[in-house]
Amino acid sequence: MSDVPPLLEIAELTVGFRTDDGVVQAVRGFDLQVDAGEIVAIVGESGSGKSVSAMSILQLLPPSATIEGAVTWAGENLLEVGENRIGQVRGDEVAMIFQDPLSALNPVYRIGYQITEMIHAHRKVSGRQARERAIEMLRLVGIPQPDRRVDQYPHEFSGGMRQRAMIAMALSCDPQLIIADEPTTALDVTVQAQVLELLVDLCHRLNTAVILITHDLGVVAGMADRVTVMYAGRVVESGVVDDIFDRTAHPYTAGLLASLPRLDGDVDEPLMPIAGQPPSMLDPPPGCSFHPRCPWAKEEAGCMTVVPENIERNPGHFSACHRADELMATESLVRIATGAP
Amino acid sequence: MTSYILRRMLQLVFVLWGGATILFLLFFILPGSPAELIAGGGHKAVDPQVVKNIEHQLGIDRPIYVQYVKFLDRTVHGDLGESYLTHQKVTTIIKERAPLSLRLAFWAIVVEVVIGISSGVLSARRRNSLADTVTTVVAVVASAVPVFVLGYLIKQVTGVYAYQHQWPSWARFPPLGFGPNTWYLGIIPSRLQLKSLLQPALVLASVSTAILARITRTSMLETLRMDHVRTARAKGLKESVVIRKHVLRNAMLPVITILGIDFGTAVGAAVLTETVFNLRGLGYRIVTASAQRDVPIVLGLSLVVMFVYGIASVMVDVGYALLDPRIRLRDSDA
Repeated sequence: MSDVPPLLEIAELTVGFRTDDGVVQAVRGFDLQVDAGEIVAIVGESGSGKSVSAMSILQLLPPSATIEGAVTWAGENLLEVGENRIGQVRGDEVAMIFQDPLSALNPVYRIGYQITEMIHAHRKVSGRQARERAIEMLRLVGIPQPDRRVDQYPHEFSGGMRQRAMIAMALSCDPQLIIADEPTTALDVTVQAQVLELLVDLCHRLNTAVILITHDLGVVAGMADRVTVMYAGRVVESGVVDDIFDRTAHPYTAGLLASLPRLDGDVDEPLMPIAGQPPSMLDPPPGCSFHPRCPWAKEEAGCMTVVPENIERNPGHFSACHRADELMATESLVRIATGAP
Repeated sequence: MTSYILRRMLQLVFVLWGGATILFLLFFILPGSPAELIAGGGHKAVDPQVVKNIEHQLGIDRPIYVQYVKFLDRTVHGDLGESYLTHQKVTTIIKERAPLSLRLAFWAIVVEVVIGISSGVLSARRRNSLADTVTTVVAVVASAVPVFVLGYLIKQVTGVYAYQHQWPSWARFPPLGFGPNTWYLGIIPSRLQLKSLLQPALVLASVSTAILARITRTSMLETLRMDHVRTARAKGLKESVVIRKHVLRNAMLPVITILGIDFGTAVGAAVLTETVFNLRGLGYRIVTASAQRDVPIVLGLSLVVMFVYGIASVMVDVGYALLDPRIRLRDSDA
């Protein structure tokens, strides 16, 4: 990577939630760098801490969360800035797109109002200018008749349209970074690809960086520049897409990849799930959190006792596995995923 | 929307008709005749011939259907009959009593809206804080203490004790009556009027205010958890704007429903408050007339109360539609 400081740098982010049963350790030392215009995917199962990490960037977590670490944005640690400054960053410099556009939009306000409200929060413009900007943005995301649609309510939009409107809103103040938290999970399969392509395409054109949070590695393959795989609140592997897909260096990543249905595979071939359940974050397993489910876990390697460090195995390709060297010497993905010799 | 409101008004006519019919029949089912009471009976025996004569005078010796048709006929023509006992016209009684009840109910609702909603919002925003605990305790106590206990208590303190101990004049309130009857625009009290209005309005509003505060709190907390509130914050809106525009407005729907019901209740069922402060409102008159079997008064005044309920419920529906665009008032909903 270059000498230019990254757009966003998250270091040693740790997030816990106080509950009646104890502290849920949602994120345990998360690192991420995003350069300008880059598309970075965070992949992991539900509960792996990916959404929580993203929410903490803009201080959007509830007060019950305790956050440590640093989120460096434009030379400042966003975790420590005051209400006014974070208000400036939110929406204007860093915008967010959420999972379910129906619940993420306020049902009682018109789409146009919800967009202009954000423009007014950050720009000194007239009502007419803000409205024109909103229409322009709706046109940009491919909503037909935007000058009419701007006055409609969210329930009058289809699911895909709503998410397009969310994208329009997110882009309306020209942010440098968009955090998209599973932006297509709540949508019909048929429109998922359309919406995602639209987002990625627009961000490429506008040179907006994207943090794309998803549990679908298939989505990542075609869209992202780099991928970070999370498990149980930690990064287990990160690198460019080709590293992750072709030179997989963590059994969890291999498990995710092997569980994908393939278009070119045998139809009768059963899908390969990862056995077991993600651990409880109230009391995560010692050592490598993945070891109870890992076919490669070995006492002698320290899997059960020592937390593996996330080490750079090849330039830009990090893996947190005690047996990464052995994995990287293994050709077959299925063999990595199953641990078969 | 206009056609919806017209439909609802038409519906209201049937509601009034149904309500009046049920009340009318009730008086025939209940034992005891108004004629006996008028003849001085009740406990001691009276000459049956006297009772018969009175019944004939009042027209209640005729078959029930004849009386019913007669009742409907004159009601439709705006004649609500006259009191069996005082021979006062019921419409006159309504003109006398309704303004007091409506004004008292209106200001009780104002108290309820202002105190109930603001304390509900406060305790939701500062959840589990001292303010939340205090409003919770006050709300539970206020809804548990019977209105007449609270009423007499307040009256004793600011209406009696305050005079006996020469409290400053702003802390003294007239213990009885509704004051000089001076209103601007028919609804805004003069300063002197306010003195007499304040205590009964507070007492009448006490229970409903407490309940509204709890409902507002719950509704706010529910809305605060919603995704669109997180979106509003992520847009960079100020917290005060988030609360006002994206939480409060969405949280108001259940609150509006309660307010509509409360207004109807405050007009028709303020008997306890009216009794404590010796006010001559609709509810008070309905209760005394019921005890005296003065059927025309009960029917006539009840019609007014039912009408107010009906109007309030239409207003709730319209308020709903204004607050939430997902609710469209179509004729089919009426």
